[in-house]
Amino acid sequence: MDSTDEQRRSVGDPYLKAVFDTVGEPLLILDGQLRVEAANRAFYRTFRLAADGVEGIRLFELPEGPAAIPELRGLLASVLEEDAAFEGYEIEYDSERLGHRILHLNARQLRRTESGSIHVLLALNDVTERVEAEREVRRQRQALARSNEELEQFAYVASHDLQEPLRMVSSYVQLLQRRYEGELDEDADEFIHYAVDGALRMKRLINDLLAYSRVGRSGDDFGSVDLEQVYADVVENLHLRIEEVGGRVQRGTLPVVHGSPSQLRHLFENLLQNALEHRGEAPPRIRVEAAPEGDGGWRMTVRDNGPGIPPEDRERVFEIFRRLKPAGEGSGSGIGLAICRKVVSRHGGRIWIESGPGEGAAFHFTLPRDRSSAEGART
Amino acid sequence: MSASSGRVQPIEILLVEDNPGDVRLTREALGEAKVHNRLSVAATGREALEHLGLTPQTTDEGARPDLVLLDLNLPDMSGHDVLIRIKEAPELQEIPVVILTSSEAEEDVARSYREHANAYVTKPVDLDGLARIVRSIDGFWFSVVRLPKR
Repeated sequence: MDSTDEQRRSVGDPYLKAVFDTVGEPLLILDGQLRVEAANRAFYRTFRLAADGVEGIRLFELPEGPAAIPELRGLLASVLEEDAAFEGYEIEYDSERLGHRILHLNARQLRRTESGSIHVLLALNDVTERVEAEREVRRQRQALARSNEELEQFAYVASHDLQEPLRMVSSYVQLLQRRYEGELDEDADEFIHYAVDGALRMKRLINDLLAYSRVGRSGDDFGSVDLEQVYADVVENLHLRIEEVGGRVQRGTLPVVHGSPSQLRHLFENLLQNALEHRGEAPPRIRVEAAPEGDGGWRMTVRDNGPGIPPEDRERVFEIFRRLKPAGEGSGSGIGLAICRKVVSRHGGRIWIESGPGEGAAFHFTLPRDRSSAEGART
Repeated sequence: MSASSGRVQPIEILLVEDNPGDVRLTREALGEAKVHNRLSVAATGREALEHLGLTPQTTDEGARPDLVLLDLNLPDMSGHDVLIRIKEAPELQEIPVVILTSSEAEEDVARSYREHANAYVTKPVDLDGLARIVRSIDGFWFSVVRLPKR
């Protein structure tokens, strides 16, 4: 290196000097009077000081640099006098030249064996960017949570308060139809027909929106849920519909998971209903299975033999009020799968679809393992 | 009360409801359900209390109702308060009070029964539903159960 190397009394050894300069963290070695004995390259870079311009100067007489750091004086005094050591001591301050800075300070005493002189090694890790990025992420996460909450609240209030005027519209239009159908002209009958139809659809939408916004609203108790019991209840509920379409529903061994019984019942019911509704030519064959996940949770699968779902729709089907087929008699409003996604995400899991041409569709979702036992698996 | 088939006297119903749309609808539903009735309407809690003789200024026009249909959401006072006043009055407390409201809040349901409501019904969204409910209210209170003689 150059001639200033000799002045660096602390790091005179080229071997140590190379190590010192290669470390990415700003390092200072101070003597007992807090004069700078050595500063590494990272130090000059971080504090934007002219290279090699600080050696021999007392730290707190430096016109620029770490002297602006609050608490540093006291910190260093305790290192020198009490042989204290610091690690990851976080300091946040505003520097005129460098702007807002967040540092993690490590400091410890060094003692030369030959002379017995006391020195301080000070590492000033500039974590401003990392900490601010973390804060930003946290802020965004909170903002997102808040906006989700507001959205849910909005959906609830909107759907609840819309019921009232809707009741008026649908009741009176119905009354009109009942009393005056066929007594006015053909146009009037047609108008009334569309009004009744619209009111009925709106009623279904509002009810669904209300159902969607109610998922988890009542503060369901999370606990151990036996999915075989949930499955049995749901199949029992749906047995008329299953018979009607000549369907067969089977299951593998299902685990006990950690979750909300009512939400999970909702989830299974909606998935089975979806599979029964979107069937192909052949009578529906539906199978529910569970497989352990790497993280100790479970991956559930509801597989059907229906027409399958094209790749471009596999994400969209989970959107609220999204339906792939035009609304028809007896079909839902398209809220079922949105409710499924909400339930799964409230359980900290995710839901997705796999579907190959002519293979039907497989709805996968993950659920957390039961917490009351070491393993949720059945033996 | 005699069974509805042999009933000669109309049922006196007091409907406490501030929304004229709902009042008319209830009237229509009673008609659709072929309930032989005479309907009085109170649009505020105060009117209801007056009708029931629970205020000093009461005129004795209002006939004692056989049944009260009570909305919880009233402009001047809460339906709960009307309910409490009825159930506290010795001469009125035996009258069946059916809460007919759009509130689905569990709190309202529980509270109403604590205050001795005889039944709690959520207003259905369509006329058929309302007619069905009116018919069952009529069938239950005036055919199935036995109430004390006036």
